[in-house]
Order: sequence, then C-alpha cells, then structure tokens
Amino acid sequence: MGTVMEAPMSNQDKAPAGVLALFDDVDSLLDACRRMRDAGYTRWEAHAPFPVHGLDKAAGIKPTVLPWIVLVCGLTGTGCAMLMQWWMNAHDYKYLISGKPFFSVPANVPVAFEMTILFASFAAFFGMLALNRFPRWSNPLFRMPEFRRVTADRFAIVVDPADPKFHAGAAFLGEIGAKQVLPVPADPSPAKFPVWVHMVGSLVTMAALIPVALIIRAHYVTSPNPPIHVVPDMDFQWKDKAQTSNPTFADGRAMRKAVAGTVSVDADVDPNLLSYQSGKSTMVDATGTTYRTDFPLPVTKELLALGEMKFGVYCAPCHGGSGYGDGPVHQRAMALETAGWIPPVNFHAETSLALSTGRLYDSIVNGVRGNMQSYASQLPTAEERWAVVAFIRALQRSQNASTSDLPQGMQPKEIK
Amino acid sequence: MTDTAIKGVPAEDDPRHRVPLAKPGTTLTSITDIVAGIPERRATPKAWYVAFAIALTLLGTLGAMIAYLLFTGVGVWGNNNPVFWGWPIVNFVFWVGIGHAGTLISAILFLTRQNWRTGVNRFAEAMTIFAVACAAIFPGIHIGRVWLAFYLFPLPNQMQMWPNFRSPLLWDVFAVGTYATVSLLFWYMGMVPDLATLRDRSVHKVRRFAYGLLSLGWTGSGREWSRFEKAYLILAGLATPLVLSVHSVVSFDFAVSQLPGWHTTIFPPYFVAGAVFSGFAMVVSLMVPARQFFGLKDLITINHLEVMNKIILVTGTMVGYAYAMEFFIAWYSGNPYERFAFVNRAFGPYYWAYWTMVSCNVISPQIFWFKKARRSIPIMMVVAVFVNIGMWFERFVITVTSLSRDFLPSSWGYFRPTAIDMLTFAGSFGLFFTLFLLFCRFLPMVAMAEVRTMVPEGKPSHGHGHGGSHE
Ligand code: HEC
Repeated sequence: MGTVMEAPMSNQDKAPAGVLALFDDVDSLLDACRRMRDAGYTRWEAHAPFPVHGLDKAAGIKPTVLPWIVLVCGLTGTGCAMLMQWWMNAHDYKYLISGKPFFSVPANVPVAFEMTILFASFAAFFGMLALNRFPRWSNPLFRMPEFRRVTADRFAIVVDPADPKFHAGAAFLGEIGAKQVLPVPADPSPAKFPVWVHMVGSLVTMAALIPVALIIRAHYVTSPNPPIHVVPDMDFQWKDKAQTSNPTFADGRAMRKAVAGTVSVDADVDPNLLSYQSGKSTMVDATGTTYRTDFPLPVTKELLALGEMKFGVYCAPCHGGSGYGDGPVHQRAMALETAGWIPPVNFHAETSLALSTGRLYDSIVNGVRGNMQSYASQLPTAEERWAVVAFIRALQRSQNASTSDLPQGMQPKEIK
Repeated sequence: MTDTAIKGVPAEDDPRHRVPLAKPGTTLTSITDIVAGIPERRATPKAWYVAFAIALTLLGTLGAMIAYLLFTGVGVWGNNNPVFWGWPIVNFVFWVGIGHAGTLISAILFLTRQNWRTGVNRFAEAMTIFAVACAAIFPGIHIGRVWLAFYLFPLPNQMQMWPNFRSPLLWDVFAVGTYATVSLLFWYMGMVPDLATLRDRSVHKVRRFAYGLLSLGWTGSGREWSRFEKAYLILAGLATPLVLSVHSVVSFDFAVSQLPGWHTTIFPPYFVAGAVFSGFAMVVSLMVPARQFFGLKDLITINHLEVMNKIILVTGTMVGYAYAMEFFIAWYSGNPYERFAFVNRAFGPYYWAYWTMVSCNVISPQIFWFKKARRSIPIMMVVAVFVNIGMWFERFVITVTSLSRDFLPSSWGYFRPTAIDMLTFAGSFGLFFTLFLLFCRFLPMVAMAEVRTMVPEGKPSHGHGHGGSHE
C-alpha cells in the first residue's frame, strides 16, 4: 500500500511525477496561484490544510457538477419510493385498511421524503469520492516527507508533468515565492498487478459464486426432506394432534372421549325448533324444496326485540336497516364499482315477500347460493334464528302495509 | 472595528462583535498539535482505562440482558397488558432524541453560518451516531422474535407479502435508518481531511496504514476541497429537513394512533424541540469533562458552552410551552377522554414522574437566564444531567400514562419495570460510552480543518479584504 511504503531509492531512473513547491502562509499561496493561473499553467494543484477562501477563483477551479448528480439521484429516490409503495401495497399485495384507497400520496410522503434524502446523500458522498477519484491510496506525494505538513499547517503547489509548461515550472515556482521546490519522485511500484494477483482473484471470484449458484439452484429444485427450521418458533409443540396415538392412555388414542355424564349443547333442543322443512303448514317453492311456513315457537314482543337486535348486528350491514338491500357494505361496493358484486337481496321485493319462514331460516343456517355465507355460528341458537326470521317478517309487514292493516276504528276516513 | 462602543454594554456583549472562536494566540500548528496530539499520545491515560472498563462492563450487561431476553421472551420485561410499550420504547425515543444535537449543530448551524459550531460539531456528530446506535437496539429487541427483524424492511419473504406503508412504525424504520446513514456519512466525510492529517503525522506504520486507509488518499488539493465543500454544503442542506423529520416521524408513532394523550397535532414540533433540548444537554455533559480531560480548552472555550446553554434555555422553554399547551388543548377540546388523560398525567398514579419531568425540563434550565450560571461549569453540569433525566421521564410519562389507562377501565393497570428493564437501559449507556471512549482515543475530536479557518492564519490577507492585484 502506497501510504505505508517509504520511497525506495531504485526509482531514480524514472521521470519525476511532478514538482512540489512549498509555501508558508495562505497569502503567498493565493498570490502564487493567481500568477500560475495567469502564466497559463493548466495541469497543477494547490494544496492546503483547510478550505481556502478564494482559492477556486485564484486557481481557476471550475464549479463542480456534484449538485446536478445529487438532484438527479434525489429525484430518483422520490420516484423509487413512490413506485415501491404503490407496487407493494396497491399492486402486488393489496392492503385494505379501513376502506381507504390502496394508493394515496399523503400516506406515502414520509417514506418518499426519507428515500429522497437517502439517495441524494449517497450521491453527495459517493459523488464527491468519485469526482475526486477516491479512494486513491497510492500517491507519489505520500512518499515525500516534505508533503506531510501540507495537511497540517503548510501550503503547496504541485505541477503535473503533463502540463505543457512543466519544464519551466520549477524555476517559475521559485520566482513566485515558493520556500522550497522539489521534484516528486515517481511511483516505483509496477503499474500492472503481478500475475498471481489475477490468478488468486479469479479463483476467489469463482469460489464466491458457488453459494450464489446453490441458492439459485435451491429455488428450482424440490426436495423430499422437510425444510430446515433454524428457529422453530411454534412449529413443533408438545401437544397431540387429532387422529394420533398416545401410549399414555390404555386405549392408545390421543383424542379422548367425552367424560361420562357430559351433556351436549343441543341435546335438549326440541327437534321441531331446529326443523325448517316440516311443520304445521308447509309449501313447495319454485326450486321444488319443501319449507315450513309457520313458526315453531310463539312470536312474542320479546322475540321480536331479540330479532331486531340480532338483525341490526348481523344482517343490516348488507341488507340495510329497513331491509331494502342498501346497507353500508353494499353502498361501499357501489362507490368502488367493485366488479362482480352481487347485491344483497331486497326483502321487500315481490320474490322476497314470497319466501317462506322455513326458507328464511335456511338462508341463515346454510347461507344463500354460495353468495351469502352461513350465519349459523353468529346466531348459534334456534331461538335467535327464528327471532331474526320473525323480525324480517315484521319488517316486510311494516314496509308493505295498507290501511286495512290498521286496527278496527283507526282506519283513516276518506277526505272528500 | 472602528465603530464606537454602545453605551452601557460591555465590549464582550456587543452584538456586533463575535465572540472569539478559539483562544487568541491559537495557530494552525497549535490546533493540529492539540487535536492530533490526543490520538497520538503514547501512553493511554489511566483514567481512560478505568472509564473504558466501566463502559465495557455495562456493555457486557447489555449483551447478557439481550441474550436472556432472546432465550426467554419479552415476558422478562415489565411490559404487560395494557402497557405493551414500556421501557424499550421509552429508551428508544430517549436515545433518538439525544441523537439530534449532532446533526443539528453540524447542519442547521452550518447553514445559518453559526461559526462557533466548528469547535464542537465533530464531537456532537459522534455522539449522534452512538446515540442512534443505542436507539436502534430497542425497537429491534422489542419485536419479540428478533430473528424475524427483517420483517421490518420491505424484503421479499416466503409469505409473499410486504410491510404496510400506512403504518408510522414503518415510516420510523425509514426515518431512523436514513438518519443513521446520513449522519454517519456526514460525520465520516467531515473527518476525511483530519484523518489525512493524522495519517501524515503518524510515525508508526500500523497507524499510518490505518489512517491512510480511512483518509482515502486525501491530499487537500484545491479541487478536492472545492468538491468536498460542495458535498458538505449539500449534505448539510439535506440533513436539515432530515433532522426535523426524524423526531416528527417518531412522534407519529404516538400521534397517529387514537389514544388520548397521544393523538395530538402538537407532537411533531414538540418532539423535535425536546430532542434538540436533550441532545444539547448530552453534548454539554460530555463536552465539559472531555475538554477538561483532553486539554481542549483553547478550542472549546467557555463561550461555546455558553451558546449551548442558551439553546438549552430556549428549547427547554419551548418544551415547557408544549406541556402547557397540551393541557390547554385537552381542556379546550371538550373531549372528556383527553381531559382525563391529562389530569391523570399530572395528578394520577404517575404524578411523581410528571413532576420530575416538569422540574427537570422546565424549571431547571431557567437558571440560564443569568449569564453567571451559563458560564459556570458546575451549574451547567448539574442542569445538563437534570435535563437528561427529565427528558427520559418525559418519554416515560407520555408512553406509560396513556397506555396504562386504556379505554376499558377493567384493564387499567400500573406499570412496574423489572430489573431486566433497568439493567438493559443501563447497559445501553455501556454501548454509548464504549463507542465514545474509542472515538476520543483514536479519532480527531475537533474538526481541525474547520477550526483552522477560524484563526487569523487561516484567513487570507488577515481580514483586510481580498486584496490581490491579479483579481
Ligand atoms: C355480507 C353481506 C350479507 C349479510 C351480512 C347478510 N346477507 Fe343475506 N344476502 C346477501 C346477498 C349478497 C344475498 C343474495 C344472494 C344471491 O342472490 O345469491 C343475500 C340473500 C339473502 C336472502 C335471500 C335468500 C333467497 O332465497 O333469495 C335472505 C333471506 C337473506 N339474505 C337473509 C339474511 C339474514 C337473515 C342475514 C343476517 C343474519 C343476512 N342475510 C346477512 C348478503 C348478505
């Protein structure tokens, strides 16, 4: 490494790598720079231990393109962030959060902002390194003990041999106030890497490709072995799964039978309450199925109140509070123009009014044509289900009433 | 200066005169000797070893606590229903907050041309990076199954799903990640010329190699400086909105949720002010012993400390204003839950934490209205330590009081930390000080190149305009 090696004496035959002139203070450096610039020198550098105010102008240094690089990278950061968020949350794996749109700019601003800054900062840092050709660990200047104080408290001008006026440089530098003028010894190390470096390098590169190749292979090849669990988390637990054996028990079964005397939840339920296909009165509907048309239990005020409550919780979101099929879920689907949306049934349509009580019960227990799910688990007891059926009936009555439904003596009089 | 003194104002208080930024008589050579002399010292001072041993012990404690946590589970902490965000999040916000002073000093004060920053910026930036490193640990271990920490990042995974970009917790990952990266770049880049100085002064081959590697081949040429300064300016410009965004985003973790006491719009500015406040307090409490110990008094003068104390006073008062405004808004909103949350904060079961916070953060810095106090080392040390304590309590109060009184009174609870909580927090100081002591020992603690421009020798033509017949 150039930084550690001292200059060996064997490079006397090589042409010098430049000429170094030392200055004691910043004013003489600036003055010398102006004279170098005006004398038409083009390939030279002024070195100082701190950023010298006015040096750019004195040495004729043009403004750097760095800001433009940063601008482009910053904008790339914004674009990448937006694209990433759109692709990840609105395209590849859609997140539905409180019914908000999948992609909206405000929610994506913080990440876009941070990525803009990140990309721009990388550009500023690495752009600065690249423009300055850093890292450059080997530099003939580092071999000169005289140069060492230039990063502490002295100043220097170094002229490159490529400068057309290089031959006159040393003398000119002396004229314009340099305290000391020295040739920069050429770099004694060979310009090319030795062959073994190439060989070892290519071997290492090839070895490094092996794991990559294995990973790529694993992506395409299937294996009969179970996956390797580095951290098993809760994949393996000390418990028995269904239909397995366990020698602890005399019968060897992991699944135990119910303890003697256990009572099933619906053991005592009147079979009449659970039946929706046979009852006191029945009918055969358009699909040819037989349904009961009566209620297996008395319809009381309490039953209707229970039905109203359950209907409000489980049915109204789709079918609407009054049963017109206009609940908020339906309205939202309309607003989003959801493709393939099947509207919930309007309970006051001709066909719905014709549905038997048994059919309504069936809809709750078994769902509807695969388009509405079963609500059997939300309404676990037969009483609750019949309560909802009774409430639907009451709704239908209320929305399709005629004056003749009013009690005797309360009928409105005709206004003449 | 030819203008006459203002009547009744002592010369050193005249706003038209800048306070000297380094002790008069400081030269390019003496700056280099003082600053580079510290890492070059042959014998490491005994006190350094003692401090380092303590720091390493604490660091070991941190490691042991984390290992215990990993093998046992988050049940080792006091976090439990309803307070699922206990000390780990309090500590996270505390450390991130401290990490704000560095970039603020480097970036915002650079853009506003506050030249006094040159003496202290390197130090503060280093502190920032170490504080952010401490902060990053806590959310990492707080996720429970640490081996799944990569879920925090948008990486392809076997579930074929992506993180939710509407979550402030994810914004946090980006904000803190960006902040840590940019602070590191800023710090390192600023250090490159100084590392070159160390390289060129080193006698020992290993040192010359190490500093040579780190200084990337810096020669201090005009073009290098020109690009370097442009890059520095750009990074400062980028870091300024960044530093303001980071604690704003951290505050969103709270403000975006619907909890009374958290769901307020004042959070972002209030958090940023608090962060700057705690960061400066930390800088002062580290700077005072460091300048004493390493003989940096000529470069980091009492004037520097005084300016920092002024900032502590300003930001402390801003924080006090925010505390008051939170109460006012809670009352003014008419929202009974919000009102309850705040009455409960000040007079509920955590009243002791609340009033510790108010006394440390609002009352104690008020002493800095007096110039004598601002320039007194013992007073500023006491206040700085108080502020650090107070700011930790602020985060505790915000996190725990709101969570412990959630919407279901039946699940209300009282949070109690465990010994593991406390040792983990103490251990995080171990990490901080270990890194810090290594920095003090091996890297240039003061930005030499910048301070050089502050002494007469570093100013072309000694301030008499840019004379030069060739311009
Ligand atoms: C998620 C939305 C949704 C909810 C909630 C819902 N339904 Fe439905 N329901 C539908 C849809 C959609 C249809 C129409 C299905 C079709 O046309 O195939 C429907 C149809 C019906 C029908 C008509 C059956 C027939 O034979 O035409 C009945 C009766 C019914 N629902 C009752 C209920 C009851 C009672 C509840 C509450 C326990 C309920 N629904 C809750 C979506 C819903």
